[in-house]
Amino acid sequence: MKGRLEKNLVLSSRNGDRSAYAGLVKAYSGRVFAICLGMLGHRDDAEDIAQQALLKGFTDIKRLRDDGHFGAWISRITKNLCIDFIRRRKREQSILAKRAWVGRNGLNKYSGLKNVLGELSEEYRLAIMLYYFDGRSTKNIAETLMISEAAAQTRLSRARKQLRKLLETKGGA
Amino acid sequence: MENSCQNIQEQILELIAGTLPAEKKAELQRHISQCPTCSKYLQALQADDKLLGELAEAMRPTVTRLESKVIEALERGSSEKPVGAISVLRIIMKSRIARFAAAAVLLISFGYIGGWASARRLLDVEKLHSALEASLRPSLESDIRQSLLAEIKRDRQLTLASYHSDVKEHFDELRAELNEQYRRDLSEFAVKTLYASNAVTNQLLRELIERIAAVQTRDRRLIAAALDKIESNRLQDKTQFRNGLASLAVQTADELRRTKQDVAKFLVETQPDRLMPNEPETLNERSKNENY
Repeated sequence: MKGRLEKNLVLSSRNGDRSAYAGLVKAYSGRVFAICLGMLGHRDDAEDIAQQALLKGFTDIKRLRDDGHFGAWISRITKNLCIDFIRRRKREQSILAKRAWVGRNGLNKYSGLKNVLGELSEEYRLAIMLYYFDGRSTKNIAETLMISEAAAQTRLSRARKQLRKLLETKGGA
Repeated sequence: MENSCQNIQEQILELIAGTLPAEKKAELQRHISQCPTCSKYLQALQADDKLLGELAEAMRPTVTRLESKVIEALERGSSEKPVGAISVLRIIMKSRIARFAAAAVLLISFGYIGGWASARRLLDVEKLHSALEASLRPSLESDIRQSLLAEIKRDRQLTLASYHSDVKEHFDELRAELNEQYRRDLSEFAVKTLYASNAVTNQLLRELIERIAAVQTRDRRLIAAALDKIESNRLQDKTQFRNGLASLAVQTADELRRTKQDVAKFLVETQPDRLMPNEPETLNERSKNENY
């Protein structure tokens, strides 16, 4: 979602219009979930933190200065919440890395892929998650990670290369 | 893996990302069609892309559930939260008359408070409240109502305008998405067609080369046969020619002998005195020698 429509929704949301904010939720839930999944690596945790991030977006929307940059702003909120969650988890001495990546059943078909995704570095995993969960757009990756579009393309290509290498060595595919 | 293949695999990554320049595509496709390693790498990357897309699709219900949870939480918050005093005040203060009335209330209130302070007597707050309420209620109520009506009207106009712009924007987005999809399909189709046409062209070239080779072999055989025939004809002609010459020589010798005999006879008949007695014999012997 871009342009005037997004600005209108942000403006209405700032005035307390919840249905307008619901429109923003629908537009950005994929991206927010992708960030959480990329950073936390667990589906249930990702869903919880994504929910918190989207609700925080509504309560804090008055702080958003540029109405046209809701995507970058909500991405920043999400990343901060993920970092807090990881810190909390570390304090609780929960070993995040040992948790099954993506979590829960129902996706056994992709078990090899999931294991390998869990072994990718966070920046590469995040690039892949954002690309496939947020409209297959390198522009969205660039906006979320606050890098240029060319850098986003390079990162995505390197992530694919790394993923392929891991799949070959681990025999995931 | 060769160094050139490593470079090619970088280009394959660019091809998958859709960032490979068009002029390099044909060269890359040519290499891929000849190199099993690179061909396998391309197929593996395409399979990864498909699998990641499927994984994202499989998680779509989670994202939908997340959206529903957030929207429900927003709606719950909306029904629980009362309308704040500040919001009411904001609505009232939008009207100029209401602002004037509020200022009047404040002035009167300050006046009463000042009077109370200077007179040092008890103020009848209840009386003051009812007096103010009675005087201000009609004007404030109508102002608030008008203000609310104007607000609703403005909101409705804004919503309609926003709806129109939303529809237009959705339509533009949809059109852009369809265009993008069309371009992707076209590109995929072109790549597949190129592959197929390359294979067909190779097959046709092979068949053509085989046909040319067969025709060349047949031609060589025909030429050899023709040369044999020419040689045999030449030998036959040579023999015939030699035989002809021999028979011609014999005929010529006979003819010459007969001519000489005729000449000798003629001489004997016409000029017998010019001949020596042994001359005919000499002539005969000479003609014999000439024959041999």
